[in-house]
Amino acid sequence: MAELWPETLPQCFIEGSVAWQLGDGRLRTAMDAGPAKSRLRTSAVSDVLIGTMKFTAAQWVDFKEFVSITILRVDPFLFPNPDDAASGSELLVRFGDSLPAGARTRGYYVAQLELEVLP
Amino acid sequence: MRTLTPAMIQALTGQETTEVFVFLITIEHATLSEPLRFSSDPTERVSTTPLLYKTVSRGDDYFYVPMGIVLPEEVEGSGTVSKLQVSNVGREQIELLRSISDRAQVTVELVLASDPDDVGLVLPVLDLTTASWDSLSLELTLSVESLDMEPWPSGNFDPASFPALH
Repeated sequence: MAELWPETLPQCFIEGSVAWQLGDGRLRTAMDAGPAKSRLRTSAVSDVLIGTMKFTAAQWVDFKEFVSITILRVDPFLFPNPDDAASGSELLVRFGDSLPAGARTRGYYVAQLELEVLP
Repeated sequence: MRTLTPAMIQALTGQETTEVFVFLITIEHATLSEPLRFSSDPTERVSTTPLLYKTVSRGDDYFYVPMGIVLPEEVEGSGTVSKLQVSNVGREQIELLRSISDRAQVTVELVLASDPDDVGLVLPVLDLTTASWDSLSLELTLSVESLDMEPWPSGNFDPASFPALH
């Protein structure tokens, strides 16, 4: 069973910071003439969810512990679905190409999370 | 000549298709209690921890492994040689390869993810002849034993067998 996003951490992204990058997974072959041929390479494609979160100092410590110790930076975990927060549904995600970098400002840490939504 | 199903032919010749071609690999060896089965497509998720995907075909589970495969050439006179490349993230495959002294038999099949029970292409059973690896990937060479290259008769007039001749 995958780990849950800790309840002590923010449960949603900062308003207006959520972005989705749809996974491609296509194989397109250009033809000499006419439109390219296109087909799927795989039946399961990962989308990328990007959003910014604001952490207090204590939350930032918890977040680092979650990333470094709980999921060991690589394991997937269940994250609140930003598009369906009312129902409490969750997405199975893991960190994408880069881990978050927290910028400290006025006692808070602001970090952009890049999450790979697993099929 | 490769025999493909009508659905495969339609997918290959169409301008676009939602069909996904899936390679199913079955590795058999006397030391294995049951064959190893792998799939090139994460058709359905098995578990989250560890993160596993599989393809179910004819009642058997083929577990997803990122792989690249080069099919044998269909040129008259060329040998039946196929290459299979898989990631070498774990080292379990290396230990397994080092523990066997004779060849494993490998079956390669092609199916569609939408209908994995309908096998479209089946390569003849190939022998795992060579394996090479580095820290990132493992490359397996699969080939048919080339009996026409075997010397006949099998023996040689070498000094060990016929010392009086030398």
